[in-house]
Amino acid sequence: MDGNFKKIKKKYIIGAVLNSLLCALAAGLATAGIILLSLKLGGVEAKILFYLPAGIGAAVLCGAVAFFAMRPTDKKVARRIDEEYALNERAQTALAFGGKDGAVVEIQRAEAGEKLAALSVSAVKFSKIWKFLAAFAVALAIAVAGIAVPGGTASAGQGPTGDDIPAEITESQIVKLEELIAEVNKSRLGEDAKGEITEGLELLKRELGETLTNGELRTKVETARQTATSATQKGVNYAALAGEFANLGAEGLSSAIMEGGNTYLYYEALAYKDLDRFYKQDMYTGVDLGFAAGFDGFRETLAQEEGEEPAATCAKINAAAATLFGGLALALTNEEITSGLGLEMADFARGLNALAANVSAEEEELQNGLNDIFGKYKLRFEDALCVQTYSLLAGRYVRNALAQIFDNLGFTLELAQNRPSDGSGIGGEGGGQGDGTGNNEGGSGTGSMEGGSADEIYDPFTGSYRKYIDVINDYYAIVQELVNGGNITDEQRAAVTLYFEFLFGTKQP
Amino acid sequence: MKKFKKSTEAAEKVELPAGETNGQEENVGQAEAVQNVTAEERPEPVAPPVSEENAQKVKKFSDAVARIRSELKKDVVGMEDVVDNVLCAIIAGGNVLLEGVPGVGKTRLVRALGKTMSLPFSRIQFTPDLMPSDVTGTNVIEKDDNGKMTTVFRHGPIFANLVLADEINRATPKTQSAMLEVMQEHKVTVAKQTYRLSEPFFVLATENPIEQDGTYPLPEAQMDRFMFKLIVSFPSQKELADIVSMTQITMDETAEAVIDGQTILEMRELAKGVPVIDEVLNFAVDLVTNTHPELEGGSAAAKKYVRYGASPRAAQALITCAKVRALMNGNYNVSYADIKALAYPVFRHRIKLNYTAVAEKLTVDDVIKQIISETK
Repeated sequence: MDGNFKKIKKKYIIGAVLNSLLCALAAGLATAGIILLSLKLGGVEAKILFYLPAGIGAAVLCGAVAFFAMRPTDKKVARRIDEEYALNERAQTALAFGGKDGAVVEIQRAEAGEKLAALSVSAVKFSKIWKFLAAFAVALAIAVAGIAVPGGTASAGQGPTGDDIPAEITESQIVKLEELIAEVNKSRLGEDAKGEITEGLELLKRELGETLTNGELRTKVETARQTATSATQKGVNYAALAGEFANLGAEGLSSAIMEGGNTYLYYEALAYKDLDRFYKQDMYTGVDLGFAAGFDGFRETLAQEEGEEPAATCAKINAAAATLFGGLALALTNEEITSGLGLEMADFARGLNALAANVSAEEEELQNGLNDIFGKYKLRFEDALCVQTYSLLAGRYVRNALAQIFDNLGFTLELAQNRPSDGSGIGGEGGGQGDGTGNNEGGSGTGSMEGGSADEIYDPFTGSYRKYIDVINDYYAIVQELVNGGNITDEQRAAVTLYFEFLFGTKQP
Repeated sequence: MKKFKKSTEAAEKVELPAGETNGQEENVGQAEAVQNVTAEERPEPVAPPVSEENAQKVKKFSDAVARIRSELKKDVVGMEDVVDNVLCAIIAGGNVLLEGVPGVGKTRLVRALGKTMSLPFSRIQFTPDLMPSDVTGTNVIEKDDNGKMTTVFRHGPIFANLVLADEINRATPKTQSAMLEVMQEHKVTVAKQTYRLSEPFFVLATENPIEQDGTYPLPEAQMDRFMFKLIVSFPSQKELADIVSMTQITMDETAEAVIDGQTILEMRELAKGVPVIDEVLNFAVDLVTNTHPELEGGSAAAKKYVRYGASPRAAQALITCAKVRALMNGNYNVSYADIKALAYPVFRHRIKLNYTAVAEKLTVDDVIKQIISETK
């Protein structure tokens, strides 16, 4: 074909390159833009590594395919020339019969050459370029939209996080919150604590009607949980009191208070899901016997010893009152303490002081006075311990209930405390400042239950005779380990748990 | 070596008698339309040289066509398309079926053609009582000069180069079939003796679309042997006026012989060399296949309106006649336009419409038009 044909073909090639380039750019921008938009709208961090390689890959692939499809072969050029310049297939015929002989073929070739020579190469247009320009413009718009959509710039890669996502509050959650409020109202919490907790829960319920993000909802639920904490930890708790006595050298009394305080915690393993179940058990017997033993033991230390002069006994009492209860009284002079264990202990301290001030009392009078005080305050301490422990457990119960109702917000449940086998106490709430979000792991499956008789029975594991309660406790500890970690079905777990609930009296048939 | 110059206003034109064209005007117009270059832009023509002999051949062809057209105009008013198509069929070596009401000039056209081509002409008026031997000829017993009785074959009217089979649908099927062999093979067999007809041989048959009483519709096999079916329509008012004016002067044909049979054969041979690219050939083939409703590739129009599609002869006719048409129009290659234009005369008698088309009052040409539009 003549020179003009080659020139036109060259121009068509340039056109194909331009169109392919536009196609590549359009594909790349559209791909990157769509991915970026999808990430942002889906709340995923739009990292540049997600969309840029995809855009480049799409651009390269589409550009290559487009050029391969659009590349002008001689045949395509001839067809295009015939179509665009109405040559009635002259160029195609001349190309197809280029090497052939024949009278008409020869003339046809000559005439086609004439026609081609007459064409203006500069007038050759780039076909379909407007379509590709339009596609490029659309793709650019998509890419710009992807960058402009709120949620962060493409380079920062910051899209909406989980906390910014609108919280989805279900009807079921509201119902469970209402049930929790009802349960707290039914409970035996003190009126002040009850009122404070229900007020906080009611406020949370009202706030659920607002449009909240996950972050805002989590804050409001945490506020309600902290309200439960502060409401139930009013006054000096037994762990803090035990700590004071330990600091003052009264380890026995400290231990006694801790024993009593840990009482209801032992039941928590079975019954922590039901606030009211704590009160099915008689509170008086709910306090660990260790408290009584410890308290009595402390009393014995202040009793008159054989041959001891009354004055010496008084001095001993005075000393105890001065150091232990004087210090404690100072520590407990907080005007906010109006009830609970702290108040009882402060009154107990004042009573001992008053007793010790009577230095002229006879021995019998002194001992009787000591017995009266100890006898009176023992019951009051037990009551206070029960109430306080119940209150602390109730606070934990409410915190756990809120964590379970809003389980999508990432709160951690406070697991049940178990009594260690060596009898050492474990601070239930940790210094009275527990926020309820920590994971207080229980013991190593060595929990035990209060209840049962002190009769001795044969222990097949040790081959000796031991108290029935101790054997049962050991057996229960083993069972607990198997129940918590073993491969048993839910039905089996429930049956075993129920058996021990009946055995230890925490559940009535 | 002769070079073909660019067709501009100043370009040389083939000298023709006044008022006549050779189809090159179309070429000139097209060339002007595609050019918009300044003298500085225009490169030097680099068309390859053409041999004088070939150039002469092609010139002779176009000259002959031009002369035939001009001569026919003396005796035939209007009917340019019919004249061109008949001429195309003659050069291509095919037969034509003319359909028209009486008096539109069918017979006159054939007579005039015979005169301009210096071809012996005969006319056969088909009637229901016409026998095959009336067409082909028969053996007769004659006494020779020695008084001996011998059998002599008397040639029938079919023994001519240009045969007008007038109202062919009035003949009986037996007589019609006698025409079949002649039209197809250009020979006559009588009493086991075969007589070849001289070339070029051309049958132009006519049909009267009215007066169907007492007629025998041509069978499909015979219809297929006609290359074209042309509709001779009633002349326009101006044409009718010209006819009346002309025949007032004389009713005789005044056209003169301008070519002979040998020239026709040479033109036929030259036309065979017109190049056709594969795309155009495939387009022609696709057109034919698209007329078949039973074929998977059949067009929607065919599936809806056609009962029987065109035979393979239609594809042969399309290409053969397209080559001739291209040359007649001064082009040197077959184009899509040639195929599309020839589709109507080629398919008209080869496609059978179904009742759906009849119910929708569609003509064959309407369906052909749809099929063309659906063929890519």
